Amino acid sequence: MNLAVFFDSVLAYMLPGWLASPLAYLLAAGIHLALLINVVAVGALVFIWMERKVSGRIQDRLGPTRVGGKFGWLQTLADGIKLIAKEDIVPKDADAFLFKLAPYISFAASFAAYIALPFSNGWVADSVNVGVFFILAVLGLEVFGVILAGYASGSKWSLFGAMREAAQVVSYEVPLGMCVVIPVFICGTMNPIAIANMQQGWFTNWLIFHDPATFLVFWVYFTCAVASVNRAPFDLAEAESELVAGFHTEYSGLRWSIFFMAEYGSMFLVSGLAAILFFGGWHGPIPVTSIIHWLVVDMGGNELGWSAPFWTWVANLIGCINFLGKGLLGVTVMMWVRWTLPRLRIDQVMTTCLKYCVPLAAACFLGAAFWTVSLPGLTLSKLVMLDKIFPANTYGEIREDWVEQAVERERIEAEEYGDDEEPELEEGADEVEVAAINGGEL
Amino acid sequence: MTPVLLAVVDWHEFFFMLFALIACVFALAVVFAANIVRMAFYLIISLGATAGLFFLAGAEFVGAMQLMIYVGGTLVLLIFGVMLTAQKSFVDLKVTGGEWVMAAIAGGSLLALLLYAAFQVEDWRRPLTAEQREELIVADDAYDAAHIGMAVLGVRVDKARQPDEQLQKGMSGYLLPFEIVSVHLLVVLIGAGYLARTKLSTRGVRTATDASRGNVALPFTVKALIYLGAIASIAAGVACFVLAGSISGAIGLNLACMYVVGGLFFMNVLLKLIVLARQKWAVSALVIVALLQAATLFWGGAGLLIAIGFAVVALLPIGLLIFLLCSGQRSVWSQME
Repeated sequence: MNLAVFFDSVLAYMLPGWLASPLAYLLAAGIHLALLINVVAVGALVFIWMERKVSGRIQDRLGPTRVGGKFGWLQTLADGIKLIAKEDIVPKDADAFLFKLAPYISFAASFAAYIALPFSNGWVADSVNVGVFFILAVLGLEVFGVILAGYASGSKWSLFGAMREAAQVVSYEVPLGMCVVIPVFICGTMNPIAIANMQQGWFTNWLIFHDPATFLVFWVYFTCAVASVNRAPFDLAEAESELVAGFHTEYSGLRWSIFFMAEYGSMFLVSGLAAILFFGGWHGPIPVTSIIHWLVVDMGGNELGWSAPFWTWVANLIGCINFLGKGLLGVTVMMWVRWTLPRLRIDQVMTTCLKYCVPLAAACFLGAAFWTVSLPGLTLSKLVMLDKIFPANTYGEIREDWVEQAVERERIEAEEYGDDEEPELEEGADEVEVAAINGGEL
Repeated sequence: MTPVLLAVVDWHEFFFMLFALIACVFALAVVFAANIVRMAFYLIISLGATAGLFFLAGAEFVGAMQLMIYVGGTLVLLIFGVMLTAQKSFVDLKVTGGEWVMAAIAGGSLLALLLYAAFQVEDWRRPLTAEQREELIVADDAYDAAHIGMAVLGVRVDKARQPDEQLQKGMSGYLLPFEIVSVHLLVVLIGAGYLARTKLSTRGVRTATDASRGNVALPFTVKALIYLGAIASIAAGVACFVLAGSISGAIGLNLACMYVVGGLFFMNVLLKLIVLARQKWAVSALVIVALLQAATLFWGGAGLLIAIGFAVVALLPIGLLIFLLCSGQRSVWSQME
């Protein structure tokens, strides 16, 4: 069920054809855009409230309890209104142009990575074939906003904070990349939709339960992700007790809140990426899509008038909610860790990265590679015979000889279609096969 | 892709113009800006627009690479260097007239050369017709990064599509360059780590660690033994490569293993030089290399007797070296790192 096609069919009754079609597409695009930006914006709203509540409870106090009801639901809204109403101060020594531009660069980098993040099967702004790599590359650009903020503020506290944060983020990109590569080579693709679809079924199919090395690498990934977004024990850049407020010392009002939207956006992004890479993405502990497929297709729901595209959309919606829940869980754990652990010094931060995270990630890389090569198709659930109860995902096994398959596919296409036609069957044919189980819609 | 929407505005053309304009304008801004940090910032935007051009051409992998390597990596470092050298918040760069002229000549000649070379290609001389443009619009996952990945591992998946037989024969994988570049990068990393190390002693002041070392020169006997061993290893290595056929025929050894043994002889020379630099680990590495050579001889089919004989002959001088190093009251071994 394509939203644009749906609008097209509705508007075709009311408007002439030449107007209905582009309008329908613009409307559908507008809705998708609004949804995506609200994941970040409303997400920031929810996360800030949650942070205050979670931190309050951990510190044995209540947090906001007055604005908007007993639990302070609207506290963030009140904060937002206050921030908008604040005076717009630009320090005298500041490079005004770069000073004003920096928060937007940070936010733009954080939001641009959402282009490639899928929320459910096919629910992605742009299905980038190298999606995981693209997300990592764009996440690394967030540090530009920070560096520019630190430099352009014209204050030494900001400069120190920005330097430390830049060093930290750049260093932690290395183990982060190594941790991300492990699910990529287990699945044989960098497309996040394909990676998540390969973990379809019960929770035993999740990649975190594929082998011990991948299990370990998830924790390393989590540590590096937390360091990458400057959270929790790695928040030297914002250390209130040391650097006044680090790189955003001179930022007040709405500019500061844009930095924080960028930070919470990045937090949700890396949690979502962890969900896709290790926790099956939108495929939950319970195989909802398979159940719906069984009900609609196998049990003859079609005869009862249940339309397959509609129920596919419902399955995708459930998957999206599942995915959002997993991302939310990741963010909650990050907050929990922040208020539990003391802050690391900058040398401890670098030591953790270079002496612990990098060797650990490299060792797990070797371990996972060894496991995949010498024990192909074996997962932990098969090892403990759990796959008798929870059936293993057969799609996980097609990746073992993907080189031969890809070469063979190319050869067949070259013979069939000739050289001057585009192939109709894409290289990511796994998605087509997997989508067939979802009622034929990709 | 509704045809109506495409017919109103040619989006491909529009985005190409946008990205190309941004890339060129900000590249010019880099040249004409006065403040170093702003220059670096404009460069970021220009390279980002180039990445956009890559994405527009359907080369998603290359575009993401451009973002990660150029924009992410190079420019973060550039901004670091810039900020640490800028004394005040505004550093003004004055460019004199003569420098403008030289820059114009250098840049202009490069531009002329590139334009000339580019227009040598027949297909690039005039704009595309509508049908050609339709043909070129790439389907979403038609070419994915798996092709690139497999090509660098030696499997040219696109070989089947190449119509020309001669060209097809030349399409081999990129495994060797890939490995060479990987080792190259590793060397660079190690070199960078070494260059950035904390230096223990400052000029003229001997720190505690230096003072406890005492006399660090290797005695004459040890040095003579190492030099003799190096010469013998070089001779043996050369003999392995030059007389490979006859030696391997004489002892019944696989030819490839002969080359491996020869290579290990050269590694021996390197390790001996490292021992001269007083590194302890090189001595144990010498033992390991000798054992490796013996093992290669054995598995290459030379027979157990020859392998053991070789191991004994190779380990004797190494044993002598270890004895010399560890002997004496204040042994050289304890002074090595």
